[in-house]
Amino acid sequence: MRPFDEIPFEPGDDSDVALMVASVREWPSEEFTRDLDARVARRFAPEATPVRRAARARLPRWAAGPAVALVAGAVAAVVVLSGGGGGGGLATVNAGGSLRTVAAPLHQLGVKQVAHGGIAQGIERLPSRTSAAAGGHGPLQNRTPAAGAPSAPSAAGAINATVTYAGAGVTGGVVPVAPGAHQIQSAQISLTTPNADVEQVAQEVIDVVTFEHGTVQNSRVTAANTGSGGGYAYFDLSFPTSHLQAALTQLSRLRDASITSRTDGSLNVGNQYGDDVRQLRDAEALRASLLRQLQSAYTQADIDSIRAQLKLAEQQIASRQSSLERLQHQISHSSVSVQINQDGLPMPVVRHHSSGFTLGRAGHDALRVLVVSAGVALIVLAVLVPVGLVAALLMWLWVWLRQRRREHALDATS
Amino acid sequence: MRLAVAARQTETEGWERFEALYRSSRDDVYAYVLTLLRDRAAAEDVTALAFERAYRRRRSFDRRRGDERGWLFAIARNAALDELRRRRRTATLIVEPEAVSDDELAGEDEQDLVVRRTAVRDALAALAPRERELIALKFHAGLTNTEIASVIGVSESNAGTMLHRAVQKLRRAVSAPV
Repeated sequence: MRPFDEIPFEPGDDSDVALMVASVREWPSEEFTRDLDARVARRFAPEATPVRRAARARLPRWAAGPAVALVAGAVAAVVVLSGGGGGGGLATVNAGGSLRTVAAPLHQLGVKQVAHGGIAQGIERLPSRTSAAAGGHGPLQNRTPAAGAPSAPSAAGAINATVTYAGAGVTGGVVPVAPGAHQIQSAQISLTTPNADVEQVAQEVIDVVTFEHGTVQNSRVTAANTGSGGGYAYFDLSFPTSHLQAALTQLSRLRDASITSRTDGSLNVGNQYGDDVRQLRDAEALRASLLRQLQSAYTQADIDSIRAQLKLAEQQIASRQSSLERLQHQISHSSVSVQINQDGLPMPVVRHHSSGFTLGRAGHDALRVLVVSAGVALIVLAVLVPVGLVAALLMWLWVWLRQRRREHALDATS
Repeated sequence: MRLAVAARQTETEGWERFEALYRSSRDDVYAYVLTLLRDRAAAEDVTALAFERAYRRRRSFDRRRGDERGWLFAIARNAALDELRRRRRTATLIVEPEAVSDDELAGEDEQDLVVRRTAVRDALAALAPRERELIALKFHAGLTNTEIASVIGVSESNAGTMLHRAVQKLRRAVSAPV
């Protein structure tokens, strides 16, 4: 006997319909209800694997978000902190027209070592990588000797050597000059500093010039207070060659700037110097000869001719002397160009005079980690938001289509 | 530790709520699904599937969006409609539910009852599927108009109007002379 079987239908509201419907209601079979009860009792778990499922360790859902954030933060910190130091070194050696670029860590090239010896060692290690390109000129160290080497470079050959260092915290020395050699030395230094420090760094450059008895040939300083760049400074400096090494060392280690690249150049002008000296002596000899001829000249025409030649000879002497003085000045004074924020964009500064743990550095590092993390989060958001929007749209479309098909299936049963 | 204990307690409470829902709704869900599918075996499968889905998704239930019974019947409805779609694709013959063996009960006193039941079954069969569904949701599941609206995805007033028409149609069909 089922409910309502004996209850007659009565009109009024919907109770009559309720009774009607109840009278024809179908009930599940006992076998089905028993089976379903059993399944519900074991919480729909397959009978064979409840133990394994219970034993499986899972990360709680509430812990997933913080765990992911923690891992991302750690990765960002590692990236930031490991990216601050080191830096690859780039050595470019221009010897006799052949140019080779060797990318290697700076310590491999020996540039951390002091002064000439350090550079010489660095260059001496290059031939194993550059000899193939050197053509018939032979290894570089044969033509660019280390400082203090007993044999001077060949005065007859014009040897140009350029050594470029790139990367934060680069140091080094000028290209070595053999005693007695006539070489013009020059250097270019690129520094980077925050916008706000451009003027300060410019003042530090001036201090170095004063201290090392140099002169400022040309300079331009553009200060900018914006965080997005614009601060820029440029200096053409001249230092006595004897002070060049010390000046470069100081310029490379300014307190508020970090060096991004440094190029030391050396031009051997032995040939030109020798030519100028020879031509000067020839001109002087010619003048002496002309003077002697003038003493023994009788006719007015001879005297006038000799005087004209004398005038030309004196002009030649003056010209050669002037050229020689210029050359000697170039040899005795080296030009150094310093660029601060070459591309107009400040970069983070690597401080030279601090080491070890300080609260300031820790705070700085922490700030960097936060900034980088924020940047990474922003990039991730920039990618995920459009992707999420598209995914949500597709999901909505899929749900809508599925529901529409379901409704259609119901209508189709009639 | 506290979090684990709290999570375990929440899990236990969730299970108890689900079990109570199952006890109170099992037969109603079956009757509703059978109304849609008109196939006992399929109705049993879909009923079991609906409860299993409800159990798996019990954490996604949001009380602010309606009653648990409405939520459960929405799951059952989707499962039943999926079954209808599947059967359409596989062209399975729809088997009408077996009539209860009224003949066995057909004593003299019960002849009238048998006739009435037959008339109601015929009237229900004559209704459109959506009307049959509304009748089932109202009188098998005992849902309110609001819950019915949420299950079939229409507004409450629309659901009330549709239900009223279905009831009137059923009444007319039952009282119509054979």
